Amino acid sequence: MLGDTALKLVHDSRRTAALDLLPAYQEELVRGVCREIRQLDASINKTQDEPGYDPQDRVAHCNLLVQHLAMRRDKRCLLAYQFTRARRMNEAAWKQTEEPNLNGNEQEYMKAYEDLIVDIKGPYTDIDLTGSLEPPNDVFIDVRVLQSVGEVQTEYGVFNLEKDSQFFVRRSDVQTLLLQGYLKEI
Amino acid sequence: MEEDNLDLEGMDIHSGLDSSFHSPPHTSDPAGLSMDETDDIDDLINNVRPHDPLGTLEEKEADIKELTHSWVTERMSPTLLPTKEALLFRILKRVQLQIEVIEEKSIDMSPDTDVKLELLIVETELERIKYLIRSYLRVRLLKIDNSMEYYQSSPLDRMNMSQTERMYLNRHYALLKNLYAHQFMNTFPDSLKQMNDSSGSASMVQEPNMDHPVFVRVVKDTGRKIIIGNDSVKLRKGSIVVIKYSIIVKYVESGDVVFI
Amino acid sequence: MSVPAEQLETFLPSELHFMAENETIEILPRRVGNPIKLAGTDLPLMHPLRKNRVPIWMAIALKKQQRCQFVPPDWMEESNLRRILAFEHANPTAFSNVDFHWLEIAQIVLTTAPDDLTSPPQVIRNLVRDIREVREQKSRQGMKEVNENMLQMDRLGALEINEMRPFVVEGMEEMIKIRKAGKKEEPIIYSESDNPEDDEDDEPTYGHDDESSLAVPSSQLDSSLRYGDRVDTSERRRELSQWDDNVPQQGGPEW
Repeated sequence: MLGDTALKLVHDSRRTAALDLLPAYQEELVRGVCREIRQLDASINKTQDEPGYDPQDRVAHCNLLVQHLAMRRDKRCLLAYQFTRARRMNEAAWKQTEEPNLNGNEQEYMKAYEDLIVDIKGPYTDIDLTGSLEPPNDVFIDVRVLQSVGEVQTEYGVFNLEKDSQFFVRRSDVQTLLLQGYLKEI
Repeated sequence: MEEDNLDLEGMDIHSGLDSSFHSPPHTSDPAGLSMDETDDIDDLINNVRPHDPLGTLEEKEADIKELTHSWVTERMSPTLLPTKEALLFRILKRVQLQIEVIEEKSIDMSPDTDVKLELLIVETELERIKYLIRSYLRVRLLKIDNSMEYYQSSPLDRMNMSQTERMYLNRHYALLKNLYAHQFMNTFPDSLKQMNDSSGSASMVQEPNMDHPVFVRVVKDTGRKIIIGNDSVKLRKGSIVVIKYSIIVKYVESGDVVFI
Repeated sequence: MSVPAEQLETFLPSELHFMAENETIEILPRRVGNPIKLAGTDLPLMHPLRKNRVPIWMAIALKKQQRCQFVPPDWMEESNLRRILAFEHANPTAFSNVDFHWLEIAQIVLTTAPDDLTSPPQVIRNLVRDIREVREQKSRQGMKEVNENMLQMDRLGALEINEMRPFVVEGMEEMIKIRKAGKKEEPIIYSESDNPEDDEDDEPTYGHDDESSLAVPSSQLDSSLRYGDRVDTSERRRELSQWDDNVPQQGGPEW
């Protein structure tokens, strides 16, 4: 039935919302919808080119209208499907994460969008446009060393992180060590 | 407030943005005191030090207040508001000066706890300002993304964008169009190839939703009342109202109400 | 997307805290400290035993370095919180006039400077929680009044409003859709009142005898939150020029 293939794309978009990563691009479905659009267009042209075609004939008019609407619905479904995926790619580009299931055109798009982000960051180097969108809290923290790390270089000089010693440090300087469990916030 | 800033906000100052903020559009007059005098009245001038490249306390606080206000407004309004590029420019310049302060003091490496405290306060404030600007700019980009087709065809709305934002819109729109073209549009019959299709049953152009309900607080007693059908609300100072953006927008613009 | 969806139409709780930290609070420095030039304000010269009013974020940083103690806002006094709680209980349709960021500020003081409170922190914490709960119940009741045109939420705090935001927006949007599909739009009338008294007319003031000891001026303690308390405009609309009548409204809370 008309529009069935396009509907499958819409379902796919819906399912995507709940997934962490984009699923594989539905090449077959997209091609199927494109085919349907071309068939509808051919059918419309054929009807209008027929020798007995009468634009005043309400049956013929209705028939054409349905085909026009079906074609546009197909187009909207394709746009929505691709837009949903593009949004996810944008999001990944801002977060600087990967989307492994892109097709060739999408990979190209995402690469170009990442370049665009780099360019738009340029005028605002001091604020790091791709930085966290959570408000800052506790820029500096007290930490205790759980496991000796040795010397760590920060903007504020060198810290010798011996077990059980305590330091007042910039959170961003020790974020990784905190996550790895070498340090504990106190 | 909006009117006062019109001249500056309307201008494109992008040329300054990628340089190192050497020419502030907004400089304060030195207080005109000689150094001898300033030594004597040290306490007095804690707030107004002549030649302070950061500006006066009043200027700084007014700018941060406006930035915070602009951030809340941009976050909560359905439409893209006029860019605050001139304001950002002033604040970014101060941020840069403060980063230099940190670099100097860090090299100092003295165990002096007062220096540590100063660094802590300076850095904490900087992180706050950086966050505000980042969130402000990012939400604007999101709004542009959400209605790219609409902004492409609306020169009036594009005037609200900074030069950088217009560049972003143009390039991102071109990328998306290119993606659609290569994925499927190229195979379409000519009559379907345009992006801004509004024929058929539904428009394919996503516009900002002017009917979106917004939360505002009345900050000035206007003596005005809005009546819709059987409902009415008096714009009394302090009142908090949820109402369609299209209805309240003129009071947002006049500054009688603010987003919360 | 350049911003997560949850940050488009609403604020994160952490962002409300961020905003609350821009409010000011009084501190009592513990020792002398030099003023510091900042990008958006200045740290004032500090003298022990001389109070300063500074942004809360600055007070937090100073407190963590043992450079100051907090002077909690008056409304965080135990006796004042008890008064507010009593008012919240006594008035099923009205809210007391608390600081817009009262919950965030209470939380900041309780976690950063519990030792600077004049009552045991647990007592203050419980009072804040009780006030929050009774207000929450009332605001839930008020949600029933959501319609497609407007909702008044006077005197609710930033955090309280933010929690209701998604439901209110969704509810209103659905009703806007229904109206669009059905009836035509209601006309919108912006009216201007000529009578300066108009702004104070229609709400009786909450009379409080010992108002001087209240954390908030009693003039602000009147019961003005009236979610569903709609003015009957059918009659008023006939006389657009006379908005200044002093007739008490129908269906308002009873005092």
